Amino acid sequence: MAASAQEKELAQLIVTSLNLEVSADEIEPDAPLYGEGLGLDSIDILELSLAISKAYGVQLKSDDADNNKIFSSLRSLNEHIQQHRAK
Amino acid sequence: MKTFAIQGRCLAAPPDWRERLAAMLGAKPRRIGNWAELGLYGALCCLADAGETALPPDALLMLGSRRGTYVPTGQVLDQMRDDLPMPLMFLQTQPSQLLALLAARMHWRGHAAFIAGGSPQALLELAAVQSGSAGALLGWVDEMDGGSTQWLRLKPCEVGGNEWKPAAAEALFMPDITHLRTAGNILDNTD
Amino acid sequence: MKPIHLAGRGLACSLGLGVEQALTTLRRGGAQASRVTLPGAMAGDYPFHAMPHGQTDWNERARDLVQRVSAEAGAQQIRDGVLLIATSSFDIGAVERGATQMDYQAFADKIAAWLDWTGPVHVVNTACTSSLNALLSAQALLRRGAAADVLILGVELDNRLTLGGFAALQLLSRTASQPFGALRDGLVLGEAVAALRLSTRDAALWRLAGGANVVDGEQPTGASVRAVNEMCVRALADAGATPDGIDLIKVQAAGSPGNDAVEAQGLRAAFTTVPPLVSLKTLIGHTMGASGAAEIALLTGCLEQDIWPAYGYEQDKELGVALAPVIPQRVRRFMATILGFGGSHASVILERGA
Repeated sequence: MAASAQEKELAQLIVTSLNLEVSADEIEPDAPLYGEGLGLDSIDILELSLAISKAYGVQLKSDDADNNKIFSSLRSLNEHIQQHRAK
Repeated sequence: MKTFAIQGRCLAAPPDWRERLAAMLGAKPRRIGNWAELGLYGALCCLADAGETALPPDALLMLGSRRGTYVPTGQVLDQMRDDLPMPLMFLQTQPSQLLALLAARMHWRGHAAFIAGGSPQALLELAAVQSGSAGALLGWVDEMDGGSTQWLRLKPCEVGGNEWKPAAAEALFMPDITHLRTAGNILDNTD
Repeated sequence: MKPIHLAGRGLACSLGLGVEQALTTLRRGGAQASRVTLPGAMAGDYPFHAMPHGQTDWNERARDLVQRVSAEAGAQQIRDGVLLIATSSFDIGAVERGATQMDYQAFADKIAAWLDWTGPVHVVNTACTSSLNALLSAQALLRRGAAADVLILGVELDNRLTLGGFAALQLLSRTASQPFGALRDGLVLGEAVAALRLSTRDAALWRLAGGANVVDGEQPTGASVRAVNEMCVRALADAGATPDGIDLIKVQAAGSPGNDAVEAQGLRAAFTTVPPLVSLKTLIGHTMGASGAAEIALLTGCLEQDIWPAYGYEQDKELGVALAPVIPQRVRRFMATILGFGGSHASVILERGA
């Protein structure tokens, strides 16, 4: 399934805040963000969490038990943000 | 007093050092910042020049700088006017992050320290008392004025005393210097 | 090799200004952490161990603390010795207030001027392990006879950069530091100025026997099990000690969920029987670059005067190690560890003289 407009916007935030070499269009909505896939690690996730909270007003905690699910893909991250966004 | 032979060195970064660093690392570094990238480039070149792929476990890694991470520090202070700093930028304010990066890159675990300010000569004196038979990797990295990254791979050695000439402190990073002798800032050029 | 004596010590921390005042506060049950509020997306209140010092001008406050603590350690006798300043944050608090520029050498010169220091000055900056790395440099200078007296001055003063950075990395507890605690959820920062005067001339009760620092790049913001183990092995070898000769370990344990577990695992790897453990982080917070010197100044005082921290929270049984509930009898030799940013794992061993 192709990325939605919201997902594209989030992909751009990921690429910009993490200084990634890939372009936002290349991030597959269902591919994993962690490890294999986009290759992000725990420090990237912290960076991304703060960038997201600044942009959307959604607080993401590093010790949240649901993090594996939330950060499992662009799509799941976007769903989480849209459910909780304050901005 | 201690005598070192210079086994390898990096005295400057060429204009295309970023491309060269990316080639050495296999990818462009994306989150360590300019100062650490400069340091990483110089250290890896110096090790290669010494014919080493990894630093021995007992070697000492001593890093110094006049201004260090002042650029990311300024950026973080700007970020903090109305919000928290970004984590990666905060990490870039910590000079010791470069020690961890180097350790990881050199597949090495050992004694490493960052000394802020002072001079390369003072750093050499500290390295001389703290290093053992495996010697030291000594670096001086700054990003002012286009950036500089100067590194020496030093091994302790025994050399006779007669041919020693005193040299100016700036000679530490001169290409024709083959040996250094500490205490009294006596440097030598035995060529 | 001449013994290296801990010839003097000085401390200013949240417990008080001076070692004796800090110990007196401890005997009365310690001091409450104050709170600071950070702005922005992850905004909120965080506990912080601030020092009881009312001066509002950053530089004046720093000057008074540095002079007071150094004098307590007997620095005026050795002004031609080597001064090793240990810090992770320099005078960034003054920079934040627009009172100075960020400049390492200007910072070193400022402190040297406050102390009328005439000997060599170095600034050691390895984040949390700065003071212990300064101790290792001091030890090398003294062992090789390059100096007879060294003053280690740990300086970690109020600033927003460290607090903000740690908050951004989600390392801070919102409530309290619970080292090795079952419900630990992060560390609490604190400020401190601490001085240790080391000498091969002046005999004293405690001696620096050895130590080691191991940098491991595996985890740039935390500890690794293999490096904790290797640090213990190297420190013991450097001090000429065996694992069963260690009567007490002052651990890093600051209350971080991950790092405390890594440290516990590393200790179990290095010691068949883990010695009694103590953490001082509940008392003064994590004082970063000053912590190594501050905690040694405090711990030696506690051992001399039979004072012991009361933890008052449940320990994490899954760690396989626990903090000693009472002071161990007859501590002849202890290890003091700090783990920190930059993958740095440092430990020193101190011995009590006859």
